[in-house]
Amino acid sequence: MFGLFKKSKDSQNGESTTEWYSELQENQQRWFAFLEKLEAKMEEFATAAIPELKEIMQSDDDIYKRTFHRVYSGVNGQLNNIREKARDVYEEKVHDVYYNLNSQISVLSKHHNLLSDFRSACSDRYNEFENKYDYWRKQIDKTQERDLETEYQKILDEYEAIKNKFNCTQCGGNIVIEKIFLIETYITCPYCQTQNTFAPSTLGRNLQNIARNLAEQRTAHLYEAYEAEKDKERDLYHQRHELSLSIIHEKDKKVLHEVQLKMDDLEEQRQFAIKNAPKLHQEYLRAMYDELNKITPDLKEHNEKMYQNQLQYL
Amino acid sequence: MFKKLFGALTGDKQENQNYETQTSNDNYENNYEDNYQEVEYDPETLHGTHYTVEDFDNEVAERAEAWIADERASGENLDEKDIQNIYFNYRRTVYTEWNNCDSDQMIRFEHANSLKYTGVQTSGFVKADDNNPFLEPVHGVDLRTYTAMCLKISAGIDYLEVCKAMGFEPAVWEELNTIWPQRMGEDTSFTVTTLFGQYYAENVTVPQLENLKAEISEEGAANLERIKSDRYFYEELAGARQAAYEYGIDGAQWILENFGINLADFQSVAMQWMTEQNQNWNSADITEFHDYQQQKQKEYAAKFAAEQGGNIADDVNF
Repeated sequence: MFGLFKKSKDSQNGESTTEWYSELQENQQRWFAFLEKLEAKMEEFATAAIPELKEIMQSDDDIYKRTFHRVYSGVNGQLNNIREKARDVYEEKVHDVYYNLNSQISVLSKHHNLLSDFRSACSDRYNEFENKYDYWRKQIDKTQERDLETEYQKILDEYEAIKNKFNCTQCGGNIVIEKIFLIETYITCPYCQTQNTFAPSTLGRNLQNIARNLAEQRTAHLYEAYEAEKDKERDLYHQRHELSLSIIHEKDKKVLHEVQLKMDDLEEQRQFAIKNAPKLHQEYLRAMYDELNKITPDLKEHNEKMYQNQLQYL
Repeated sequence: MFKKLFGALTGDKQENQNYETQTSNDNYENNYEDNYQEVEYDPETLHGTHYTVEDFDNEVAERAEAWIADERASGENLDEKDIQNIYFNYRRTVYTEWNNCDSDQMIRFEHANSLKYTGVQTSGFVKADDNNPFLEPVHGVDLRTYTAMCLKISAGIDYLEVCKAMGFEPAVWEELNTIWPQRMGEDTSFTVTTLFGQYYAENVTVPQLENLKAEISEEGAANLERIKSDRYFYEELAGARQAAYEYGIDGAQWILENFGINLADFQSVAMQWMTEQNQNWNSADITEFHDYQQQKQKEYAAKFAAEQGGNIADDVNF
């Protein structure tokens, strides 16, 4: 009787295991192949789009670069379309399949690990895909970078060229434009006191649009130092965590002591990083706003208020 | 029963609290027997009228400080953000307990009191305070008038026409258009920004600008009326516009060309829907409209893709 029972149970398991297991294997293989093809498409598309985008950025005369932004949105739309396709397939062919089978196969069953292995393998591969997506997104984002120093220099050059060329509309006297004006401004003629209106050129007006990005570009190294400190905190946390896991079953007192010392040291470093990061952040902000004030001194009052506000969120 | 008990109690806060805990328990039990307990809400603060706001704030503070003391005693380091978070959560707990309400009501309450409790305004609940330095008129032009000018310009009217109608030089407009946005950036309570949004939603105008009308076709006018009253139609166009951008098309321009609605009018209606949503927070509705917009976006995306020869990865299948 026992023998019969055992045999039928095994054969039952054996048959159904083969069924669903082969479905899992097939799904996994197809999922891997599918992602590989999508990744190839992403690479092909991005590699072709990036030089195009750079070209458009250069040739787009519009100060707001609207043509560039239209095309840029379209390019990201396509990349996103690929990403969503992957997500939809993951939902249907991995996630739903897993949960469906999971409700039928007990966690205690000796074959359940096949199911969980399926999910982790597919999920890990999916993460790889997502990383590749992030990589190409970043590359495409880079095409937004403008040669701001050159643009700024053009603005400065133009200012030098025109600053002595303005004449009063009433008496013809020469009025020196004392700084780069960002908007239409009233200037009083020093000779006849008539109010003249000085209208900055398109180039002059553009200074406002590039000022912040230029200031950020010039202080990017400080921002990176701040980001690195934040990453360091996470890294130290994980290192310490790994060590604490490693001693869970450790009985040797000497080893325990050594590992504990390392853990304490890592924790000290981590606490330092936690305190240091906001300081680096403030250093960056101060330097960035100093640059901004150099570029657009007219906006200093406003800039300082913005800087003070940002300190609240450190 | 709840009201009578509260009315009968005087003075001793300790007793009050015990009663409160007891009666809220009683409430839960009574609910099964007496069915629905009507809570009256103050129309402005959305607090239940069966308790005072002071009692509420004190209860929250007491629970929060007790928790904070516990955390600190066990060696936890709490910074400003953590403390704000603790208060935030206790406000939710006490409000829900004392009013026996659902989360939608709780969120409406949060919106009505966002400035008081979090220092940030919510659209639909902003009150313009005359003493607020951020709302000082600039060159005699207040925020409402500035918004009215912005609306005309976004509708497609030349800014020089608008200046002429207002009776001032373009240089003045440029100052307005510099200073008001600056204030929006500087105001950490977002009063200027949120109030601007509210005025935009109301499609405000001033007498000087009443005669300046953007050109709008008959079809455009009809569609505009429709997005104002038919939320589904609005969400469809919003989804279509988003899809257009994802296919490299200027979405706002596409709406103007295909439906005759200019950007200012469209955004004004968008703000109206958003404000109404804040004031009558209902999560079921919000989910429904969100899903509907997503669905429409997908449909229009397919149309645009077809027009452009398909998507890059159309030939890749599982």
